[in-house]
Amino acid sequence: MNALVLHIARPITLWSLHFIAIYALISAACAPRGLIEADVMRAVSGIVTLGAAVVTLAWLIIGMRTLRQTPDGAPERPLVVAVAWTAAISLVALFANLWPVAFLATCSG
Amino acid sequence: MTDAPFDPTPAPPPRRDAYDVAPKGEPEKDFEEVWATPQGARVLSSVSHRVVGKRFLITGFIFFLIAGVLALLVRLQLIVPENTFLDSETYNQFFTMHGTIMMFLFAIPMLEGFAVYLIPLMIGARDLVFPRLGAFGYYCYLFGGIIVLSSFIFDAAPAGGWFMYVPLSTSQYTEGLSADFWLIGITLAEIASVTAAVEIIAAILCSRAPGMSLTKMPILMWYLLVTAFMIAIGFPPLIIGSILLEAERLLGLPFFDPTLGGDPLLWQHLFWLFGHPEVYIIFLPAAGMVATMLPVFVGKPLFGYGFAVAAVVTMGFLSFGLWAHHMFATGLPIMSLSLFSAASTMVAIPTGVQIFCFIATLTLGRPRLTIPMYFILGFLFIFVLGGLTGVMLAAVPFNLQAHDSYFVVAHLHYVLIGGFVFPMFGALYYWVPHFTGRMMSERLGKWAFWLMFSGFNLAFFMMHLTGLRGMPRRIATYPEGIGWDRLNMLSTVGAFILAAGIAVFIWDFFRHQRAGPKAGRDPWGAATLEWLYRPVTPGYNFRAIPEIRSREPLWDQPELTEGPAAEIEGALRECPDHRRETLGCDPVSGAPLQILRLPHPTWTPLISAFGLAVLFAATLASVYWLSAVGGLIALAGLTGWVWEPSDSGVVRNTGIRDGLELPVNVVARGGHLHVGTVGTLLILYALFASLLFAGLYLWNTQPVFAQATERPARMFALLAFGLSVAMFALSWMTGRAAILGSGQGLILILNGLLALVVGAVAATFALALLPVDPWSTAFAAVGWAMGAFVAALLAVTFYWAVFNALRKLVGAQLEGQGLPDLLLGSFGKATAAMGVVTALAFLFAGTPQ
Repeated sequence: MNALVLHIARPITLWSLHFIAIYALISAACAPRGLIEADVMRAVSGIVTLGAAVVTLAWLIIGMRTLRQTPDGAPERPLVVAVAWTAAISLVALFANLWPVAFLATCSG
Repeated sequence: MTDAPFDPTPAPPPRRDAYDVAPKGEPEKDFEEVWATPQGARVLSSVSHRVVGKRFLITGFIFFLIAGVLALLVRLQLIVPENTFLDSETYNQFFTMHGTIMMFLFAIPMLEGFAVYLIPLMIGARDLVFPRLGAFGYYCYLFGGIIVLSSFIFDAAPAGGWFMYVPLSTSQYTEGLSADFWLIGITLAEIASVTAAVEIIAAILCSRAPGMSLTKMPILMWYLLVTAFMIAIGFPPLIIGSILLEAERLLGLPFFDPTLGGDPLLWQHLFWLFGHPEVYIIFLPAAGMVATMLPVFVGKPLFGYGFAVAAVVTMGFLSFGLWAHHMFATGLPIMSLSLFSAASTMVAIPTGVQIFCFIATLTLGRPRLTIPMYFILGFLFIFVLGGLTGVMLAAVPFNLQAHDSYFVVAHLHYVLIGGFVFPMFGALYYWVPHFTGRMMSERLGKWAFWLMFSGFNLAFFMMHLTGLRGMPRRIATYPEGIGWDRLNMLSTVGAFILAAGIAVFIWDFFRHQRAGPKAGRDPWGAATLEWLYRPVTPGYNFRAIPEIRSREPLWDQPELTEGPAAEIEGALRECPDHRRETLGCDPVSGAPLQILRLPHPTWTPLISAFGLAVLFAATLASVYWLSAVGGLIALAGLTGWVWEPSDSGVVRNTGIRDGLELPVNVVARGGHLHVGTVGTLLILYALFASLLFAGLYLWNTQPVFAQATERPARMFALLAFGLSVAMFALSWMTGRAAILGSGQGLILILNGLLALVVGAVAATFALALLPVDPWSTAFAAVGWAMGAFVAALLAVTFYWAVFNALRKLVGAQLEGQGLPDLLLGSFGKATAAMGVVTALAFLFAGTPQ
């Protein structure tokens, strides 16, 4: 059950890290200091998102498989459901983080 | 069904060795007397969760009424155009105090009150694991609230809005003490929130009944657990922001001054980093209460427990990614706005999952239309509408149009009154029998609900239209004939109808205490443990703590309901040490882990909170010698609090599972004190991260000023880095030695060495910062703020190390009683890690000059 708790938290924790990374990249490119170019921001955001999405997708697939294998009355089933759903919501949320970087041409729109 | 008197306390087993004593035990008292609430003035020394929880609820409700009256006065001013009922300054004060009181002194404390009162009862514990912390938090809240309210007496009520935006709230534009009342009073009151967070985390994770794994935990506990983590991370940015703003007002440090590289938007970032998660901090426990009550009235378990858990966990995280949607009109880059817009839309998914769980539960049976159920249905209707306008406001173009208009006022009241006030009234109707032993009136309850529901919708639905017709928020009056007159009139009428509903509730509350029918055992037919005894439940909650095999124990475990509750088999029926005790569990599996010894009534929380209140109030009045006296009183109170003989090193029979023996106050990382320490460190890291964010933000947005800032002395920064690493190693060794049960001599030496190294780290940080003038730039001021923060933690570590050494020397802590050193080790490691990061920042920030 320790593992299940960890599995509930990890995809959304990864989303948090991803959000911080995207926010930091946008800040680095769009603030007055201008640390990086917009293209660099876009490329790094894409790579970071791809990595996070692959990992989350793997967790989602494993979670769904575990859910199928867990009998209805099993005491741990509610947490197994939570594991799969947290991964699913986190996966969608990762792409929500990416879309402004992917679709906006410049910092100002 | 009545509860039989409990068995007399059996004779204690023979003593075994020097540790086999119960410090602070009261052998002259039997079990019931040990748990009795002190009478007369000594009731102020009570630390029982039931007493403290009710205090939170009553005080919070009084603040609710005060803020409600202010709202009615605001509405009276707006009832007709060009009204002169209130002058502009008074109007500004009233709407500012309305928002401030509702957000800080009503909503959060009410949820804390419910949490403090209900958690032990629902998880099968006799009290919270840190009862003194709960009492301390309450008194901080009370004193903080009094400071904020007293601003009216001094004609210095804050008038800059509940968010205290800079530069309006700086001394340049707000002279006098009004902003200081807000900053100092609210910071004191917030201590209650962060202490409650630690309390809730440790209680839920460490004191559940035997067998109550996470999957068998009542759903409300999941909501409260996530909320507590959110408070631990969400409140620190505001605490840091308030301290920085007060430092700017008091000392002239230029954190938000653009002429010296500060940025007013930094305040908005810090404020909304707290402010937006706070909406979810308020909403989630209320939704948890709905998820608890709804199955009772449907007669079926909650649909989709796992879905709800996933939704609440993801909402807890996602809610931290939305803060800048309050700043869409501040000129942030469009790309940033789009990121926050996406996250704001995204949070609708887990919220929707949760609402669908509630709706699906409703379809499982024929719901009983009781008064709590009326309020649940009212919640669903109003909150869903508020959520929909929230999705509208998440869209940047619409937000820019509706920004600062009454549409936003309507949205936030639909979310907060729908998402918190309606569930709260439902919860009050549901749990009042538990508080008073009597039922409230169904007839008056329906009157209260329909008045509140119709009044609310009349008042606030109109505001959508007023906002779409262009009426801005926070204006004291408006010209006639531009289409706002009638809508405002209707809103005011609605507000008074809503108030009439609340008045009916209050009348019924007082009436039912003498005339209400007595509540029987489990009057609603609920499934959760708080209804195990007939109301009012005895002060110890559970005479013996039962084994739990189901998430709905009162429905699925007949042995719990067939006989008198006091005769139910369970753990800790015997009370050989005449101490307050409850069972401690493994945080995840719920397996019994230890016996927790709990404090008896004590004055130390009140003394400590009083000292802090003196410190804060004297600072407000600029009487600094009195501030020092207040600080000393608080320190004395806290020292008295922790200066008591250790309890660990003893093993006792729990009376369950064929004589299962468990250690008292186990020395392990899964123990309640260590979990509480980790919770505290989470808060401290969030405070530190807020300062780091401030530094990075100014570095990124004000590069010229960052470049112009003098770099700290590199040699000393390097030395501070090395000593921080040494401090980390010593702290690790201290913790390790405690777990391994090493000899007293070794740990004493480690305590001494740690104190020495901590002193050296503090000295090198001070020397590193000396060349930097904190008034030169905002970036330099943030550097000093980081140094001051780490210095404060180093002072605590130093005091703690010396304190532990002294306790060993006077025999208050014997060999094998390593809990204080385990905790010191963890705290020291965390402080050292922050020292390392700070030293690295000092090595690279600024420019040598």
